[in-house]
Amino acid sequence: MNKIHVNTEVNGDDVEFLCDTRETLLDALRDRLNLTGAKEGCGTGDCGACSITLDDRLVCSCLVLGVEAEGKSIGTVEGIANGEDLHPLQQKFIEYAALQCGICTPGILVATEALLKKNPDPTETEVRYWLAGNLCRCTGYDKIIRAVMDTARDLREAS
Amino acid sequence: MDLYANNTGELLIALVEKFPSLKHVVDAGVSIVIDGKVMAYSLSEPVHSENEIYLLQRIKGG
Amino acid sequence: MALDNQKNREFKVVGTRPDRPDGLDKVTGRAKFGADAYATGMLHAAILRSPHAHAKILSINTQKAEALKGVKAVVTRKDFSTSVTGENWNVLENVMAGDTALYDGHAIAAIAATSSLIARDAIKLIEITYDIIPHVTDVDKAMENGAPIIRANAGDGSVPKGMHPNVVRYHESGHGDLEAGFSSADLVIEDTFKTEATHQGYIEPHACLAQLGGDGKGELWCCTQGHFQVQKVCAALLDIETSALRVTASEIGGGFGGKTAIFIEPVALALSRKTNRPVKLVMSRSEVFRATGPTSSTSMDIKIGMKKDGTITAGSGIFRLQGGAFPGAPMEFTAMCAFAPYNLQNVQQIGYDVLNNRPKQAAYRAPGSPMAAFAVESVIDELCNQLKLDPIEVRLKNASKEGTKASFGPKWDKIGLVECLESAKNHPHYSSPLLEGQGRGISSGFWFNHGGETAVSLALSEDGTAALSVGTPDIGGSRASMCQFAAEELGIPYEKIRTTIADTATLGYNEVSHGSRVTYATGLATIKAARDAVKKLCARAANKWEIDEDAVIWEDGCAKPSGPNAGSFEPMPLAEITKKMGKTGGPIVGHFEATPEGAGVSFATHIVDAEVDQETGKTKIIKYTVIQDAGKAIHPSYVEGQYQGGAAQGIGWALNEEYIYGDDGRLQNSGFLDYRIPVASDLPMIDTVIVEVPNPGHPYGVRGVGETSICPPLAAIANAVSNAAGVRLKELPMSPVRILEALENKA
Repeated sequence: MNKIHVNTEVNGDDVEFLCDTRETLLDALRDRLNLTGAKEGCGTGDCGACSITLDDRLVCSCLVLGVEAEGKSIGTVEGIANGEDLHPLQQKFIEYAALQCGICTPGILVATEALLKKNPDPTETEVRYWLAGNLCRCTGYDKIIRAVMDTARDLREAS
Repeated sequence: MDLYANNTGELLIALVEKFPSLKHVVDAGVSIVIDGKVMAYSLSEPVHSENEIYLLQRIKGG
Repeated sequence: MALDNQKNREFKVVGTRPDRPDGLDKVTGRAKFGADAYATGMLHAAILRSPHAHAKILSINTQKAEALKGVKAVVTRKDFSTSVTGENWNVLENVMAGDTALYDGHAIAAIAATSSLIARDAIKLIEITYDIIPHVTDVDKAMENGAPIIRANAGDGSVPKGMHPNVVRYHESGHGDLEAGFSSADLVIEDTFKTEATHQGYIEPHACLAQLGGDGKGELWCCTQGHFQVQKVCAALLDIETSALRVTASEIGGGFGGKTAIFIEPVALALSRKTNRPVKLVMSRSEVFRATGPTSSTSMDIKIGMKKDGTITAGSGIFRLQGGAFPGAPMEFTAMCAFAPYNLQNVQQIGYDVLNNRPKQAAYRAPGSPMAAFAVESVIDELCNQLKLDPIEVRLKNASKEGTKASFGPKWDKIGLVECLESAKNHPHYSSPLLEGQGRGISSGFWFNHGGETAVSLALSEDGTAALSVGTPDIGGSRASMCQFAAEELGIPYEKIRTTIADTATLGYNEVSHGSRVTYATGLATIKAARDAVKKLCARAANKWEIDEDAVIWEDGCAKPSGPNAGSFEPMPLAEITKKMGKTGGPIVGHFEATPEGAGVSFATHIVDAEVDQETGKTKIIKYTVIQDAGKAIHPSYVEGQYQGGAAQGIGWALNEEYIYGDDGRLQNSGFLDYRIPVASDLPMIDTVIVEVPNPGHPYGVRGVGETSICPPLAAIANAVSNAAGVRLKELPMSPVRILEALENKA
């Protein structure tokens, strides 16, 4: 049982941890770095609750090994707000009641932030298909989609 | 049927005395409906001869 | 606890949409769910589960497992109480097998080790010898002669003589003369319907962190819908005293009824006691499917007679439900809900609870009700189609109303069914045009709702803010509503109230968050606790003013003299009173403990448009409208959320979701890939209408809403699909395979 020493960057900070070769990046983020925002809903890449960005690419962290983080740049839900200031997406989610239990919310926020960076003017269908990999069992997605569409519009108008 | 009871608790005791096979059902939990009002727990709710009383298996939810 | 007598009360906070208090934590990832707790010296646990559907356990050899470096303890059934009876025995038998493995996934032994990888490696080293015996996983087959007996003498004495021992409970209710009723009908339709088991599908697997010392004192952190129940049951299973165990509810990532049951907490506690270290136990997704509490599967025979003018002359239903290897399938609720929306002179319901080699069922929103609606509402729809009658007009014609006799006996109190149906009839959705290949379906739905033991405490701080402690975990946003109730009664801003879900050491017993009870019961308790605090605040003002307590009223967050005769004093705001409370009599706390009776039932009507692709059999939901009676909507956004969430779950249940058991009795689809719940791209926006027919049993008229929303969708969608495809499906889910088969058979 030899652990590997991993150097990586999370939300702009240089971090390091020791992990078993069998541990996923999700395990490492949660158990080694205390970043418990990403959740394990299934462990098989089906639910998206563990969504993070890896070198700006949206991935399921349960499908990435902890050791694969070496030298990469990771983005988690904890990095979305700017200190005390919430991202407009986070504000809108609260305002629109786009969360009930909140377990899927970190994954959905990471996924949506990634979408809006790539496509600031998505249609409803494009938002729905982009989020098809993020399961939500509470809301039926209605208020989530409205929050995303309206935030996208607000961000476009502001820029 | 004829039973002597002043309240819901006594009603259940009297019922089980008269129909011992009801014991299991009562022990598992019953809601008592008095004139349309559901009492899921209260054993001290008064009952009178003019009340319409129903027993339902205890309501549980999800 | 009755409806307030203030007819024209204008609510200031109730009915608005403030931000929820736990929103910040949840959007930043700070909120702590079940698996987000860590303790120094913590061990990790893993459970060994039976790979067989039915097998005698001949021996358990843990030597090799215990020898693995890092393994600290093993537990089996021997480590639990031997004196539990009744439902506690059922729970224990399910938490850890005794001499028989009863289903694929049944827990047999558990290990605590220094890492979760070691724990998982170790369980593979446990050697079990099984004697595999025949199994049965179908509700009808389990009732047939020769079916394997799951447990002898498990019946409760109510079952008619001559039935298979797997039939353990029986229900019969109804009134009138069925034969006369059916003979006076112009058309009688009789049919059989089947639904497969589904899972609540909460995204958060069960997780807990347990600590139990040799002195019988323990701490438990877990995601649950009811930590007081967890406390009570775990204490019994571990032979410790209830108050010695303190349970804290974490944030919960979905429950829907599935987390009102106990699966892993006793195991973690037992391991902790053996090792004298904290133990963390988290279920995998596969374990959640195989070994928590899915719904029953059902087989139902319905017969309904209708006259040409739409009057329903008689209705009867026989409902067979399996709830796994333990009694408890909610067949009585299926039976009682089936005809609840209809005022029938002649009606009969019969229900059977049947054992199967499957996991122990648990509630899923309104347990038993959705399946009943699927069967009955499909037949009503068929009758309407054949008699060329409008489905809403027929439902209105036969609707249950205040004072009519319910199908299960008692007279209805004030209910909102007619209001929902009228709203549906007048809704633009109902008259909007349908395109080629699309069909429309309507369904009614009903759930009882529930009160239950409740205790809350409202402590005022000297700066005039308030801390509300409640004992019902927040599964849908209820903390916002509780703050609204307290703010409304105290007359202070919403932001000045903080609601916390207190641990079991802080409050009296609270029944689990289920039965749509929280806004009703915890809400009622919050109102009462606030009024209790207000009474005490008024007493302080009265004392200061040297007038009678009765001469002081509370208005706009201030104590005021009740009239000019009481004296002319300036209003005394809450903060002014609390600032000095230490010196004027001590801390001011309002509290309330009771088991409120008077939860109002909730009826709903759903309208859905569906499109069926005749080549692939795939169904697309085009338009969906939920209309439901909420009594009084405290926070409309969260009421809408319940409507939409229940509808979405119903869509999944109707079209895709099912438990698939192989011939070997093993669950074939224990993951989200093959147990397909709706994703964002499957659904349209879900429109909602909140009907408000006040519940006479609550001060503001609140009715629970969380469960009824899952009752209509199965039937509404079945009716829409039938009308779209031209074939009636009687088995759920209506997967593409089934639809294509039905289309082929028709042609």
